[in-house]
Amino acid sequence: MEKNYERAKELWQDRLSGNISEQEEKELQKFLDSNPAEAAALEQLEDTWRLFDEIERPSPSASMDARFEGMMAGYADQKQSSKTSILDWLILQISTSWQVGLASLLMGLSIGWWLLPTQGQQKDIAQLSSEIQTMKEMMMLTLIEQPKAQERIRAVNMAADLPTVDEKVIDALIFTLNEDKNVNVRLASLESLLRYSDQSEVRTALVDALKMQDSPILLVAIADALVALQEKSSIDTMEQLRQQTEDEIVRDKLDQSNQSLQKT
Amino acid sequence: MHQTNLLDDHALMLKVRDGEIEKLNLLYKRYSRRFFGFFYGMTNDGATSEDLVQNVFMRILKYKHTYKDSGDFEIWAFQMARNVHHDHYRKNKRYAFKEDMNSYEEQLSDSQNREVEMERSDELMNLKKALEDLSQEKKELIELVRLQKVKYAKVAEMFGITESAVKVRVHRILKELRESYMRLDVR
Repeated sequence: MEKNYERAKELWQDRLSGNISEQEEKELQKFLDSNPAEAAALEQLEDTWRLFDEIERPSPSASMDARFEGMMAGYADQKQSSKTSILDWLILQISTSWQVGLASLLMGLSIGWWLLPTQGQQKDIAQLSSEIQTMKEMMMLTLIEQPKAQERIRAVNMAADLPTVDEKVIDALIFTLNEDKNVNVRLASLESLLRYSDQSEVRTALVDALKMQDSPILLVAIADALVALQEKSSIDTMEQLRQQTEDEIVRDKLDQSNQSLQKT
Repeated sequence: MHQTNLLDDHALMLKVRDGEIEKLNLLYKRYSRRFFGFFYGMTNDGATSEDLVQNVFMRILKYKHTYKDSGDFEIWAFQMARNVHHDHYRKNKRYAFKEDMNSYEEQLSDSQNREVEMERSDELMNLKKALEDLSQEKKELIELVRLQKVKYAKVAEMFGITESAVKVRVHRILKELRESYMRLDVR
């Protein structure tokens, strides 16, 4: 009995954390049904477990992120001189191998396509197109890391053409929008992201991106996008940015955008 | 078709280890809020928690070469966060319990259930106090499992005990917390 109770406690913890199999659930239920006293004790603890959901934590201040960025910049400066040659070599290796890999994959797929019988092969075609989708996704994720800006632009444009996208692609686009050193690449990734603006994660990322951009072109483009999306949650961020920015064009743009968001 | 996930935590950390330091930006975005929450739970102090988050990422850079091919970033990084907190605790020994009443009151809405909410808030307040009274190790365990939602198996690896032992310990901690905040309620 004692041993069973110990086991039930473990299963109870699994259930609380939403990680219990159907069979374990049955095992637990059997124990609870035949041991009402222990069942009551376990249920009380569930209240305590649930109460944790109401604990709220404050958010860190903006200076935490700024300090991290400062640390990264300092580290990069320190390492730059000794690292460049190794990095170049690595990039060369990667870029050679992905091109070779991609060419053979494309060739294989075309042969496969050509060899396919023309009738009654809907299933194969569906499978093939899902494979092409996966391949495009992989190619996009590889291209987005290439040193040449044109290739990264190709990658973000490719993301916009995918019929469905998953979290990884969205993450990569957001990362590029915020971190890519080339303004054109950032602009292109903004355009691609807008295709998926029905996802709340994307809209939040756009509002956050305002705080991270230093290029006036990008700031103006993001502000336009947020107005088009009627994203009212960006009002405060825009106002804050308007007060901080020294660029007159950006300041006017943010002012206009804020006004039109408030009007609607 | 097997798909290599170029953007998962492990792949990113391997790149950081091999010199692509800028990949740490994405890991920072994914983990900094969780570390902040963990440290806040342990110290009850926002400014200290921010310092400790910074320390974790400094250590990640410093010890990146020790990250293994077979590693698990969540375990490795939370282990680092625990060490950072232990060092800090050793230097400072005790934390004062602070409850910010202003933000606490703002959490109450004007709904009709205000009375029920007040009762629930008392319970919540007592739970927070009970958490304060826990030993450091117990607090750490419940914080990781319950609030930072680290899986039992991963916590087990961090603490060097079995998964069952983690579950039993968490169960005992919940019981201790419940008894302690019920006592506070009677007072």
